[in-house]
Amino acid sequence: MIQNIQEFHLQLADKKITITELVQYYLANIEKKNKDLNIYLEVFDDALEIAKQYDTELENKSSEEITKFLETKKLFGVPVAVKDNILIKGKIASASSKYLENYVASYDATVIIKLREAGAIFLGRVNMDEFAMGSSTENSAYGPTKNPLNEEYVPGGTSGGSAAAISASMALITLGSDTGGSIRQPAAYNGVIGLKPTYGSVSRHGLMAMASSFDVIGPFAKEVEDVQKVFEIIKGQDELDSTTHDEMQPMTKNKIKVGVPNEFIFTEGVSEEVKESIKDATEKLKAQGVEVVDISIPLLKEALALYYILVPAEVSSNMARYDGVRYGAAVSTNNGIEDYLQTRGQLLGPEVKRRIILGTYILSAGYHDAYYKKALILREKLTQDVKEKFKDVDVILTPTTPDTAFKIGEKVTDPLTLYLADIFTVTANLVGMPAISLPYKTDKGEMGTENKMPLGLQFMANTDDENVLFSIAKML
Amino acid sequence: MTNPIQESDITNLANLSRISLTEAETTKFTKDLQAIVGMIDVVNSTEISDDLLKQEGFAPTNKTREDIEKETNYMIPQEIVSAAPNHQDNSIKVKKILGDNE
Repeated sequence: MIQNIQEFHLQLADKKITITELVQYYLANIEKKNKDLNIYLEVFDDALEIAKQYDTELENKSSEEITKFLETKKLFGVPVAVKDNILIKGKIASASSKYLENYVASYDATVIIKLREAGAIFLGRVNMDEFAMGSSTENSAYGPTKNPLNEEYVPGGTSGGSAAAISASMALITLGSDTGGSIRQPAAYNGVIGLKPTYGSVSRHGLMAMASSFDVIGPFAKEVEDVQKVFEIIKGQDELDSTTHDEMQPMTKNKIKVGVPNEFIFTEGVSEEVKESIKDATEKLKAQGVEVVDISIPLLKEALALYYILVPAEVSSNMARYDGVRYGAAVSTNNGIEDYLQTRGQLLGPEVKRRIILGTYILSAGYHDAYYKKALILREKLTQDVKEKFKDVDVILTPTTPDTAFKIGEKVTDPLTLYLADIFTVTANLVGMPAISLPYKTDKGEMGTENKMPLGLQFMANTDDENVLFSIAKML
Repeated sequence: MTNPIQESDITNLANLSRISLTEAETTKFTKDLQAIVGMIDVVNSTEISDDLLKQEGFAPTNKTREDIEKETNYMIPQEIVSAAPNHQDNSIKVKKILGDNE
């Protein structure tokens, strides 16, 4: 079946496929597999109707006319699934929480408007960790999503549904959000490509806020050209998100220099298989004439601690809006204060409550200076240190995760172990720089079998230099 | 290392966060937060130079839009109000917070 947008559009212009047929193909896959995998929370009943309508628009056009038309509507007829924390007007957006079970979005997220203008068709909303907190999609109030490559394993998280939908051929493109690895880690666990764009390059308007100085929306796909295409459509300054900007580095580099922080990767907590993948990728790059150098950024070792100070602090503030008054559900008692306590106590899941309480602790008098203020200063220092490195190298290579996907239920009771697995992904969010996770291609065995779950290679680049990520991704 | 977190701290923090917890949750979160704070405590013990300490630290830059009046039907009030769990006559309904004689 169709593997990428270009192939789909070529066949569409040649009248070898219709949009309806492609949408029906994905709907049939969803119908067949979703009961087991629990990827989609809802399939939109208007998708097929829109597909038919779009086919009608092309009906009387010649192949040449269609080709020309598709140059302006770059995602025309492309079936897209959306993470459940991105708003589509008139549709439920629950963030996989019981609290927002029946919440209907009252406006479109900016990315949704942009995708729709480009011709995308929204197939449905997909599962995630509740309010984007977790690493396995086991924190969904609607049950865990299973990894399509092996159903005993987690698909990663928090955008687990978005990554699994690509891997299970349930959509051509999906959107996720990334606060500390929530696009890249599930991309790695599912053997697909996931891009976390530069902070502020994509509007957060209509994305449910988790940690506002970290959050960014990004695409998943099977091929890098598609990820690039979608990114170029959704990026750009938006007056409804004051942290957005337009700048982007041009595609100018003829030679790419790769930095590898070996002292950070070749440590005890990283699996042998993962270490091997870095050695192998380094060799492959060198064989293509790419210069690969060892780099050292001592503060990387503290990134995880900085992340788990600053993010819960922002979470505790952002989550205050879910008070049972303005939207979502509410538990009614005999007085107002008890309403708040019971609504949040009964309708929010354990990981969300844990992070709110941790954030409240971090921001409380006596701890604010010791943790929060110091972490802000070190975040700035880390940003400067990484920027300095990018004067010498173009990209930084690390694994996406210290190990492959784990089994469902294996780590659910131990939050710290889960947090430690974010070690390679959190830095890009702390410093606001773009990073991509690419499937590590091995010739040693099939992915998705008992001992061969996929691995991801992560490349990080300087602010607004997504283009160098796309260039290196095309080399591997 | 700062003082280890006690169950009474979790009860207090949960109350400040407006979250009711069961006894089991309180016990579990106490254990979890002890472990997590143990991990983040590395920052507390990191030495920072005086020069760095004087800095404000990380802050995202904002580009705000011009403050001009615009005609728009964007986000009409009824839609926002209708999202509230309790609403009546285009208003969000909340419980009385003051008694009859106050």
